[in-house]
Amino acid sequence: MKQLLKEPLLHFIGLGLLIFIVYGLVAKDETDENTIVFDSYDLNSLLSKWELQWKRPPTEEELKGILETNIKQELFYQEALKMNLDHNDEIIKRRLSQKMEFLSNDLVSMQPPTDEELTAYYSLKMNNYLTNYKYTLHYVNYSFDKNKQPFQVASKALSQANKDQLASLRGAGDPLPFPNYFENSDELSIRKTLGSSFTDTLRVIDTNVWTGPIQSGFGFHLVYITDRKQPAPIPLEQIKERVLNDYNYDRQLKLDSALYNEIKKQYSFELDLNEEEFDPEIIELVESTLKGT
Amino acid sequence: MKSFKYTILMVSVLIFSSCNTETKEDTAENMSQGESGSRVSQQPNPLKDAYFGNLHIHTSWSFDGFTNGSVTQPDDAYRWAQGEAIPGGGGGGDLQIKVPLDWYAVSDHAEWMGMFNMMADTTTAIGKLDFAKRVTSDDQAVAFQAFADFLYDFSTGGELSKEPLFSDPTIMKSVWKEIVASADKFYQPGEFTTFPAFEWSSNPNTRNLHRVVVFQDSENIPEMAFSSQDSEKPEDLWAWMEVSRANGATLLAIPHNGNASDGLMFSMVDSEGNPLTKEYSETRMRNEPLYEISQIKGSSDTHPDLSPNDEFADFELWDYTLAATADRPTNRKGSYLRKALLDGIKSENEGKGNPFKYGIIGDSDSHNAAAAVEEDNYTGKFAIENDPEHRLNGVPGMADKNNLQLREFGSGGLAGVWAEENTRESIFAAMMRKETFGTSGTRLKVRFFGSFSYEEELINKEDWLTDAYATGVPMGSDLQGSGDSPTFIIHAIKEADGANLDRVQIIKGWVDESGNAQEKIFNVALSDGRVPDAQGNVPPVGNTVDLATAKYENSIGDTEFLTTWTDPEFDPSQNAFYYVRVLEIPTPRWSTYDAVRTGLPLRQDVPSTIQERAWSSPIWYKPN
Repeated sequence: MKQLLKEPLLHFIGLGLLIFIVYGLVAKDETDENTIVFDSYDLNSLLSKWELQWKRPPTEEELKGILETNIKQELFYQEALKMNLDHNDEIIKRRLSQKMEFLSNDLVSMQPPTDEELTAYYSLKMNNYLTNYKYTLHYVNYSFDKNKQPFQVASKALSQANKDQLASLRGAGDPLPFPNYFENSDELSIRKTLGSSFTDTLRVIDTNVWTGPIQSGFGFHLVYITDRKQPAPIPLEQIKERVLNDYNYDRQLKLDSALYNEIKKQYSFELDLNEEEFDPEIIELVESTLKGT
Repeated sequence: MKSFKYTILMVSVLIFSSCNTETKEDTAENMSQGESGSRVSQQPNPLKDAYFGNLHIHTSWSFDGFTNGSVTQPDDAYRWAQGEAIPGGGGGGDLQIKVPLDWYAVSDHAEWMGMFNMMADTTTAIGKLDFAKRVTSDDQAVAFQAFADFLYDFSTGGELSKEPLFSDPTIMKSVWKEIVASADKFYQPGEFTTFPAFEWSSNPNTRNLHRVVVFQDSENIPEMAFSSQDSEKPEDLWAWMEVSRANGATLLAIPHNGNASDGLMFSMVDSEGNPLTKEYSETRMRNEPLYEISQIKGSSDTHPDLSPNDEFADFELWDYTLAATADRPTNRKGSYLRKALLDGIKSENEGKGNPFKYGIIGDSDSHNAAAAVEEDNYTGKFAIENDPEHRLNGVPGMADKNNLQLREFGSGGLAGVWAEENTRESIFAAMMRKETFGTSGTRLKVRFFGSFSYEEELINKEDWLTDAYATGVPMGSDLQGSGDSPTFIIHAIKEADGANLDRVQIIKGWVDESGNAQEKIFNVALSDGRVPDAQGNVPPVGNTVDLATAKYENSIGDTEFLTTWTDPEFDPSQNAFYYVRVLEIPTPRWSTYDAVRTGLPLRQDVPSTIQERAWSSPIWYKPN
């Protein structure tokens, strides 16, 4: 399935031969159709495509090569069309269906939203346009590797420290190969360093006091948050381009399904399903999917 | 008339569809698109940080992406990598990564990329035509009528379709242009990096020679991608790359899946069958500094047949060519990196240069926009696999042997890059100098330095990293100077939310005095205080995986290793290379997570647990 194009050659030749023989038996003389018009446009197209790639004209040898390749493709294509090989070909169906999607893509880019539309979209999707949590914090580490009972060691250090004083624990514990403080750092960058359980806890603990122990993949930590910024809306002016991207992206999805439903309305489906072969629920499901919108 | 009808239809749908209402809420959780304009710029770190990403990603814009049911486009891929949920297709649910990536590049196949005429692209030559002015008219009615006329005329072979501009290849290049534009659109320096890229997909006789071609940025970028329809020979791809470079583009290529090349990827003859020359070696290395060691279609570090003494060689192998008939390759040599690295130094010994002096990355090759590298969040290579039952027991209608191929897919890998900052320039430069490592999908980090002048106590200093750079070389480099024996510094640290580490190994390859290639594996750091016995054997780390729940405990293994190692068998007269392999403790394979998720029995034809790993780029030694 995943390599439809890479069927073994023999397979293909065998099948092709069969079709060719059958075709030969039924086909009429079609000399008129066996004329390929190759004009200046075609030649220019080949030449300029080559020049785009190589920044120079092709040599005679190279030109002969691209001509052969393209003529072979054209001839096989024409023959394939005559043999109706395009009919019910899943790949061709999907390709053409994708072309329809491309067309609707283009339509979206041709009709940009007004400022009012963009502002309304921004307001509706406000949750997507918040800053992340931001922290300025210090932390210390009691590592799994260096302590048999890192939780107890961390707890003891905390109980013996002056919790309100940042200096009382700063630089304590076992070093990690990361900075031991973050300054106005995005939650995501802390998460990429120390993991999700660590940052989840940061959201809820007290600030301006040593707190913990908090577990990460590396050990148990004591943390002193000096500043925690809650998520806040980012002004539209600062992220207009991003909002426009999102708007077009959503609009694209919507246009696709609107187009699908519109086209669907213009077709009627005739069901011809053997009731003995399928469960009634299945027949019902097929019916409602084909006829529903 | 039909096409006319559709055009009107689409146009009317467009007019009456508005985006302002009743769109479903997105998950805001992981959105991390930057606040352009208000971003606090981060200082570059001269000692570098590891940034994780993928550059081998396909969408439905790749031929085999959409034939296998993908509904995704390049924009979806960039959204996914930053944490957004995107449609997965294949009858399954949305795709969403748990921890967003730092950088990403969509590299759809160049083949058929130029097939589309993007008829409505008014920015290309068509825009010069009179009708295009009507299309872009402020009066919506005029615009849509013009567009409808154009489509109708074009599809019925009317006057417009004979317009010379339509045979202009600048129209054909548009899909590539869209891909480049998508990469540019999502680039946020300092936060999330993207690259324009494509894949050159040459596979003569179903033997894989594919390369991903990556551009630092869109400046002076070629107007068309280079496809295997232009040429199937890598030498021609490199020639094209050099032309592009001469025209101001900054680009590199990364070959992949030597394991599916049946010996062709690292062949000792060129495409014409001639022995490799010094010039060939230099051209190849100038254009492709890195090799992809791990991806969905298997790992290609080494094969047990090539490295019988490597007890960890049998890892996520995918032993097929690209034939749909699931043929097995017969040539191991020329298919795996370790052997190629050996052949490379051998070739250098013979005065023909080193054609295989590769740095290492891991990557994905997903054909559904999402590099589903997280083992417990794997959604398959193709959209048809976006259903755990299909992944586990096969896609209905597909042959058993092909379904086995899907089960034998790994979850893909990640590229780790040591860069000063998360920008195109910094990450691309790191790739060029090979300061990179590959993983099997985990985000464990590994550093590797070598020098003839490191003291063993160096790592006890707080700022050892500064000294390591100042008095030695990082991964991907040549050892400088000379001495009794080089000392290496290895630092490995686990992924914060991931599994503990089992061990660090150094894999050494060299050419002995008789000209034979040799390899040897040294265990240089072991977790849980283990020590090798007299024969050098190491007791296994253990296995905490509960197959009934697909859970494991970090009660074994270490979180971090920092160690030095001096080669006890160094011979200054021998060409050699060294690279690091770091192993995690055993964790459930994706198929085990799927079995637990679905309640289906575990498959017996694939491993239940794996030891995920990282490979550093090598450090090379050449006698003076």
